Amino acid sequence: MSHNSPSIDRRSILRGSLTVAGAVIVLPALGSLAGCSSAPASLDPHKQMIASIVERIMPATDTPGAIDAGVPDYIANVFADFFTAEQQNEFVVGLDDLASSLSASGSDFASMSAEEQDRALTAVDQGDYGAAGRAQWQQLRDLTIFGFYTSEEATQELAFEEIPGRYDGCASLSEVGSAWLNRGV
Amino acid sequence: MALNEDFDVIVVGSGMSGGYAAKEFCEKGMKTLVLERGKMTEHSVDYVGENQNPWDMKHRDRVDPKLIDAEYPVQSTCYAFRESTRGFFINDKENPYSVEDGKTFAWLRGDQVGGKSLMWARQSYRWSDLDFGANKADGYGTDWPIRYADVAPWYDYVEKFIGISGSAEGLPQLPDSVFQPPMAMTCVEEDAKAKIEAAFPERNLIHGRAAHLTKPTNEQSSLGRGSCQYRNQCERGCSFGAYFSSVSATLPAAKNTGNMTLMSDMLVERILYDVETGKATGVRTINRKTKESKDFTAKVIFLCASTLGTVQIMLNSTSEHFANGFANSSGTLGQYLMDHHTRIGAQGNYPGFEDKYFAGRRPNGIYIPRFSNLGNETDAEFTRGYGYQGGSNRASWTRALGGKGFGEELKKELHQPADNWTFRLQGFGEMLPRAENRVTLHPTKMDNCGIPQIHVDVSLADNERKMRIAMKRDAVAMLEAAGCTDIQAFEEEPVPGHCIHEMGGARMGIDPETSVLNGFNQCHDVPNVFATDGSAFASEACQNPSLTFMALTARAVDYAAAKMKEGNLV
Repeated sequence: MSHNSPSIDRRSILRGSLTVAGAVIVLPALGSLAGCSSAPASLDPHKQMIASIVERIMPATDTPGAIDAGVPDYIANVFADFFTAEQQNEFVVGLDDLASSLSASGSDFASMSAEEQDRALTAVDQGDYGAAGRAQWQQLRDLTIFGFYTSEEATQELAFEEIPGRYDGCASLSEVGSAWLNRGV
Repeated sequence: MALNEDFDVIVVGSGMSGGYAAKEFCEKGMKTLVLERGKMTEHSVDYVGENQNPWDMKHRDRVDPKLIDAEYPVQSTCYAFRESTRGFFINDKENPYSVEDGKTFAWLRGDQVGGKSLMWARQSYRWSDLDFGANKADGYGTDWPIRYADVAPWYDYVEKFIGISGSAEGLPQLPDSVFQPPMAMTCVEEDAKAKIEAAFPERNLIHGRAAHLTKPTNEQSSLGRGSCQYRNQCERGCSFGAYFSSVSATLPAAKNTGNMTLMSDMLVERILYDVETGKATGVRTINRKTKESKDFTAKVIFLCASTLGTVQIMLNSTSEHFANGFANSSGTLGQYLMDHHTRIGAQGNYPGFEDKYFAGRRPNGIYIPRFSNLGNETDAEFTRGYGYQGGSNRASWTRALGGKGFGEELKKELHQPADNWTFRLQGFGEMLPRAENRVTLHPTKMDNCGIPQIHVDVSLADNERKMRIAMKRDAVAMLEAAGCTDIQAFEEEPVPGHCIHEMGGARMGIDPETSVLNGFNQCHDVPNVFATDGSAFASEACQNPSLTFMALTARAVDYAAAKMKEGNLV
């Protein structure tokens, strides 16, 4: 066995490339090599887990949470409209990794109690950036925060004025009461 | 090629300069044809992104990255490019241009009636004799044929119409405009002003001067314009007409006279020249929708097609008489192209004022006018100078992106703004006029109307590099003086064009042998053709240029109209 043997992992196959001694080789027939169908990647198998995770990231309190704010639909829209087929595949593979990390205790994430879910997510959140599923967690976390605070429901959480009509550069924070809901982009 | 209605004037372009030329000519009773290459834009009606809250947009104002890659790889680098503003930016795929190998250039363009005046950043600063006298003082470029005294009354004139908010400061290097009340500073900015001005007596931290109404005049109100409502979504278009654009102000004023004919989707291919009279007779257009070619005639032609757009038309208007480009006996057409260099500065945390916040979204900031080489010194570490735009902020929820933490605790934390304010300064530096920074027409590449693509060859040189060292150093020093903590200097390699302050290419000058235009923006070679956008500029100062484009345009119209009445341009 040579030291230069191709390093193959599932993710690089799904990206359609192999790394051989530093050089990237583009694979011609992705589906057959990866042993999976050529059907487009789907979020459906992870729907429940995504819904559970986003609600733990931005939970309903005395104001709406991520589910109320339609964050799962927002993420599904980004997945469907903004991701290339390759990114969709990577995203789903990443979710597989994240699911494995989160169910290390043996139970399925969606069926855990909220406390168990928070413990599992904290372990990933605080864990090594290179750990399996960590990158996916970050992406999901950021999409959730963005999706939540750009939703109409977030106007119940943060101060919002569609037409302020005036500018005060030295307002009292206690009078404003909370952070302003800015537009995000 | 039927020649139809004969116009007094053809104005090419309907943006910052074209809108002003149209208004002035129409108000003087001239039958004016305005030709715009882009689509029609009606005030308010065509502001499709206006009033859209994030949740009204499927992707919350983000643009599909695949669409960016395919059609907007250049335009998407503009700070104002969003889903809600995308319709105001040109489609890169359909409008290619060429850049010299190994160099970069971002040609950021509008593609509609109103041009870039719809999504400009509205910062408006006068130039002074420091700027108009710079070329003569240090020998770079060619001397401007005009001085501040020539332009000052036209600044007054234009400012009264467009409306500039700001504060009178009495600074010789940055003359005061006719101001409407300034937009307030935050308490952090006021504190920084006091500390920075104490530490550096020759530096000033002032209110940003921006083309927003804060106390509309009767004339402005009668055009349907009102005060700024502090929404800060200006680049989507503003139905309040609170910021100046040609769509909200100059074009409606022109239309009210009954003298304007405005045609959209009309690309000017070339200027038509009559060698016997030595004058232009009109322009040849291509309808971008039908590809139909049509000629229009007029007594006078004003080129206001943007710096590069105007130079492209002139370079493409070759004839037996002008083999190397229109009115180019000097050979300088296309040369001495400039853009401000930026993407450099510093930011830091600002201690104190934890109980203070702001209310309303100010579409403006603070400004630190040029403070170096105020005598146009030639023995300094670099020549010319730079100013800073900046401001303070207290971050909201976006500070959580890319970080750690989640859940109720995070939601609670984000309920309040960040513990500390931040303060930021970004430098904008002057680039010297140099002949080798130039635009030509590509010998083989064409656009989809069969017009040769522009080929841009611009780069920074030694003086800009030296200036950038000082720009970063001084930003850090001012933040230190203000008491900032965690100061981070930032610097990215500037991409010419990215500042969207392109100037030069058809420079003004005293000598017809070394310049294209005279001191009234009139072609030395062809008396009835004027260029009054950024192409006319012989140097670029460090201030945002649009206000000066408009002042020089109004001045040139006044001159041209007087000559027309005398019969000297007909």
